[in-house]
This record gives sequence, C-alpha cells and structure tokens, in this order.
Amino acid sequence: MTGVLLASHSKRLAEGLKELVDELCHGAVPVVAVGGGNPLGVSVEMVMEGVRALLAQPGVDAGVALGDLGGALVALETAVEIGHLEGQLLIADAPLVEGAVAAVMAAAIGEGPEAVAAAAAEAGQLPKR
Amino acid sequence: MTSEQFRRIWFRFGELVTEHRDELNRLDAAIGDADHGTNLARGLAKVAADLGADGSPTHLAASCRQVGMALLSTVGGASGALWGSALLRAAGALPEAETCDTATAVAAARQAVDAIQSRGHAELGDKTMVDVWRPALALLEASVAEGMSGRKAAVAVAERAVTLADETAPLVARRGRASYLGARSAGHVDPGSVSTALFWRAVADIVATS
Repeated sequence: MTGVLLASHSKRLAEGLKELVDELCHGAVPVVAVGGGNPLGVSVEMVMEGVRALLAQPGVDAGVALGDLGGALVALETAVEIGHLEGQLLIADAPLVEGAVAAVMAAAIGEGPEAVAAAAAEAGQLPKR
Repeated sequence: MTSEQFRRIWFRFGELVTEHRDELNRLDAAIGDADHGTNLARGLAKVAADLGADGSPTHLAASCRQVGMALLSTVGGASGALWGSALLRAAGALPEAETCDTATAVAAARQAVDAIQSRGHAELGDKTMVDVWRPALALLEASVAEGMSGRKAAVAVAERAVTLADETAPLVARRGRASYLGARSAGHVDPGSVSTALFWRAVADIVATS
C-alpha cells in the first residue's frame, strides 16, 4: 500500500498532523512525520531517515510526501535524487493539512502513489466554505 | 585548481560567513527567518571539520562530495539542500585526482549552478542566489574563454558578485520564504545572494594567493 511522509520545519507540527490523520483513517495508513526542532528546518538526512522508516513498514511499497514550506520541498526533492528514490517516493504539490487528509483517505482505499499524490494536489483546489 | 586550494576555499568561506553571520541574520530577519548566517556558519563548521579530519579524501571529486554531504546533513531548509545538490553535481565534473585545469573547474561550477537553479526552480530576477550565481558564472566563462587566467577571472567574478548581490534589493521575491511578502520584499537585499558573493570572495582570496 501507499504510505505518507509528512515533512515540516517543525517536528511538532508534522507530528500533530500525523495525530490528526491517524485518527481520520483509524491508523489504516502508515504515516511518518519528520521535521526540525532545534534548529527548525527540514534536512535531507531527516527525510532519508523518514523514507526508510516508512518503506520498512509492513505492506508499504511506495510513499507520497508532503512538505510545509518551499525549503521542505527542496529537501524532499534532493532526498529523492541522492537516495535514488524515484518510483518509491512521490512528492505531492499540495497544501500540508488538507493534502495530508486527502492523501491518507486515498491511500486507505488502496490507491497507488500517483493517485494519492493527485488527491493531495486536488485538495488545494477545494474551497473551505 | 588543486585539492589543497579547494579545501582552503571552504575553510575561507567558513571564516567569511562566520565574520558576517550577524549581518546575514539581519538581512534574513527582514524577509525570512533570521537564521541564514547561523545556519550556513554551522554547516561550514562541519565542512571544515570533515575536510580537516584524518583520513579524509584528498582527491577533488571525493572532497567535493564530502562538502556536499556535510552541507546536506547540517544546514536545514532550502539552503542546505541547494548547496548540497550543487556540490554533489559539481563533484561529477571533477576528476578523482589532486588537480584539474581551469576549464574543468569552470565546468564543475556550471554543474553547480545548473543544480541550484533546477532544484530551486528559480529564474533570474526571482530575488534568489541564482541572481548572483548565473551572471557570475557567465562572467567566469567569458573571462576564461577570452584567455584570462583563472586567478584574474576569480577576482573579477568576486567583485562583480558583490554588485550582483546588492542589485537584488529592488527585486520582488518570487521564490523562497520572502515570496510570501510579495511586493513588500522589495527594498531588501537577498541574504542568499550575499552569502554567494562571500563564496566567490573566498574563491578569489585563495586562488589569488596560491
């Protein structure tokens, strides 16, 4: 199945979001949260560790990653390149909170990484009210 | 360029960033999160420690990869990944040897700049370090093509880089944290451009005196 990687400059933000989406999908989708603390920021190294942890979970064959700000996306893209993770980790161009909710819902019904990333991206187009 | 020069450039860059750390933080405070100097100084301290460690590689390509990995692991956010990507890409253009000719060093610089630009999705005028890297590289390539020595070209590029960094002030940021400010980002110099100018000064300082 497809797992979800949440990368935030603040680990607490990523972990809080993991708490929320775990609840929404009843823990059916493996989700790993990575982020900085002291100092804040997303490093390539922490992304690589997070991807390894995600792909090591039983039944996970690919991951979709979401980042909070541009720096997180740059770190994610760099990790995919230097870790040779093409095909294993797709990066969604999506808002972090709504995108993560959409991603775990799509993953929970068994969608593959392309569809999960697309669902996350589409969440950015949905009006909130 | 020799591998000794390459290492000394990174020691010198670390010194310069540490000297200018507060200034870089101040520039970043205006349009970012006030940590550019601290972040980069921390990464370059790790670079210096790695390059100076017993048994560290002496060949250009391996040293360049070592610098890239150190920056990736210690500098959070976009800066670390951008600098790290640049160094890892440049390493592919450098030989597993103690020296390379000027043309090879320039080709490695081009790889670095291409990596920064593609990784950051930044164009000229977006108020990012690309606004220094891209024209500085063009000047370097043109100077060397005209037959100028690598030494003279490095000094010319370092001088131009300072001007290029200053010229980011009126630009409106379209990439990075500052882009959230929109038009309000105009009037502030881009901190990544200033640290890039410090890198070129480090290159000139070492190449001109060795």
